Amino acid sequence: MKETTAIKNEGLGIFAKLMSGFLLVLLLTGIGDYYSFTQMNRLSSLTTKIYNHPLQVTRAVLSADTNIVKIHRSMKDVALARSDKELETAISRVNDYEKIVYSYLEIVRKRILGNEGAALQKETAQLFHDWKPIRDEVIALTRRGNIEEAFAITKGKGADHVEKLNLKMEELKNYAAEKASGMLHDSQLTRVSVIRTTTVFIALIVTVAIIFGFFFSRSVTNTINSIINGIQEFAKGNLEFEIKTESKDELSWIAKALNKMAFQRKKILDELSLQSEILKNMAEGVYLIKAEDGIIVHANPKFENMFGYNPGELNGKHVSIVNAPTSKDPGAVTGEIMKEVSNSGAWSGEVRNIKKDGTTFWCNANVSLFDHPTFGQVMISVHTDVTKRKSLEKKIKDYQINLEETVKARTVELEKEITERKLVEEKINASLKEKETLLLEIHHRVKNNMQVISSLLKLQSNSFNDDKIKKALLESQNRVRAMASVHKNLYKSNNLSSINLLPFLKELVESILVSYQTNSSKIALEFKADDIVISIDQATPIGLIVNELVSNSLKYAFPDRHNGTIRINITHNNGEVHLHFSDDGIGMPQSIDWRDPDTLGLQLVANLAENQLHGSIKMESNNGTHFIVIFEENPGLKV
Amino acid sequence: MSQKSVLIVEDEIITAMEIKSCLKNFGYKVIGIVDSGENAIKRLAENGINLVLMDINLKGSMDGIETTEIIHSKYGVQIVFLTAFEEKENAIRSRFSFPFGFLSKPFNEKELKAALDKLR
Repeated sequence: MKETTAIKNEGLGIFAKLMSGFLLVLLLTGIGDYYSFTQMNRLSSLTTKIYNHPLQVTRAVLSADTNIVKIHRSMKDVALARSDKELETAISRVNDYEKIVYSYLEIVRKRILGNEGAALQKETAQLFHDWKPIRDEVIALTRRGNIEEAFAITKGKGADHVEKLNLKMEELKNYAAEKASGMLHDSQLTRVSVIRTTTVFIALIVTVAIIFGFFFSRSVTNTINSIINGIQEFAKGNLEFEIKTESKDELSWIAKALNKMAFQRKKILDELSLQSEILKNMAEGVYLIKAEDGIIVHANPKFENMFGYNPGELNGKHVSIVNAPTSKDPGAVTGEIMKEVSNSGAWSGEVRNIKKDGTTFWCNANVSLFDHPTFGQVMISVHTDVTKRKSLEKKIKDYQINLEETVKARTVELEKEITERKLVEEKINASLKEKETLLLEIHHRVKNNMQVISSLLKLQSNSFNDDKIKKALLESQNRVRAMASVHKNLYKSNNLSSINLLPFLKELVESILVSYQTNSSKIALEFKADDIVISIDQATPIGLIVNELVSNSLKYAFPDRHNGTIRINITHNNGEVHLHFSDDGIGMPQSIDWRDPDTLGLQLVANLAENQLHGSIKMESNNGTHFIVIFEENPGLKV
Repeated sequence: MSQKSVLIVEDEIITAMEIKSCLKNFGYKVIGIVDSGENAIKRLAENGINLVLMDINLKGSMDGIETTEIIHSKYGVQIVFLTAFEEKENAIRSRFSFPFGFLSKPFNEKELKAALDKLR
């Protein structure tokens, strides 16, 4: 239900809408009421004013007027008084009335409104005040007994003044009445205005309330109708229906939640339908039993088919019906499996099952436990017929055993073969080693014998006094040593059949230089050679050639000099060896035919180069003597 | 300088003769030629031998190296080794720390002279 709660509150909610409408009406009503209250207040104050001012003033003016009349009448009594007592009584009455008039004029002064009113009151009070001296004159005349004159003043001057006073009073009265009438008119206008304005306000409030109510209820009703329609569709099973709402209030959330619910429900139904389809079409047989009593509540078509039952036939039967009797009876087997499933939640293994027709076969079963909403705790068992697999396994096992035996036999044979081969190899190696040792021994003996020959030649030379013979024997000794040097180098080499040209020739030439040089002469050697490995067949003639050429140079090239340079440069290219020998001596005399000389040395050089190395040789006498010998490198031998 | 007395230990008698001839020319006094280590030890017991020309391969049960070990510690004589087995040079050099001469066969008179001169 997490998805449902995830629907967000967007837009104006119903509560907010209602509150805003209510507040709007309340505000309008408040404004209207406020207006009415202020206007009523004004009316009330107007009424109070009317009562307090124009009406009071009118009443006071009237009362004052009455008392003025009374004063005037009493003045008549004064004039007509027959005794002093009557006179004094009348005077006293006049004075009393005068006080009353003053008190009323004071009321008028206090209550009269407007400057005009105040002026009128003042004028009236002044007139009343001015009457007093007239009255006093009358009283004085009366006291003196001058009654007629007093009467005449009262009737004449006194009456005129009273008349004036009365007129002023009348004016004052009219003024107050006018003021009262104006105020009344004003209050009437106010009342009419208040009634009109209030009526407009009420009409406005009602209109607003109606419009708001209409739109609000329409919006709510539409949404509710959509929701009801949606719920009806859902109830019909149309879970793909979607409730569409335009509003964004709580009702739209309800609609969205309902849509979501329908969607989830559809998903669940789809999944259930898929699972049901899977169960129906599974290659494995599946059945469900109640955990409490082992009664089958469902079996899929494959299971029914596998065991030879009709659709639904197994429902209600005890599970032991599908187990074949082995060493244990089917009930016991069933009991053991169910106990294990109850304890650990699952069981898997192979069971011997039985079909409806009594045929037994092996199945692989996976049993697990779960809670079903209708059947309570149930066990689900997935069965696979493993008869074919078992037979195949047996075949594989037999084949494996057979293969292992073959491999074992072959291994024994191979081990024997290897042992034999090792023995042969050891024999060959031993034989090779023996041959190598023998060869080394031979080279050693050859070398030793050559030493003996060299010694013999030396000893022989000792017995001659002739330098020519001594030299000839020394030359022969050097030739033997040149040949011995080949064996010496072979002895050092790895394969006993070829030698490295550079160390061989260098050592040989240095040895010859030692044998010829006296202390006073210094002949330098410049020796350069590529890394060339040469066979014993070519090494001996090359050694002899170099021996003869070096000896020849040492004997003849430097007759008057005690120093000079002998250069030997050996290169090889494309299977050819180039031996370039030169000295910076006096050069070969023209008289000597170097190819057919009297001396043995040069004869040997030409013959060895051409007939033993099968190469070419040429001589140049130019700034010393140059010999160039070219021959094929190791012919018939690939080193 | 007094004349040095030399013993030649060499089983190849012709080679020994040449050496003797050369040594004479160089002014050495050759006391004798023996062909085995045993004989060399016997001869060294006689006084007055300063230098031994020692071949490596000898007759008898001892070779030149073994003979040298005995005679050098006992008599302190100078040694010049002579051998056709050049590869023995390293073995000899690692065996003995005293100064000695070394000559590989075949050699000539000048080479022998040079080897002897080095020991002087």
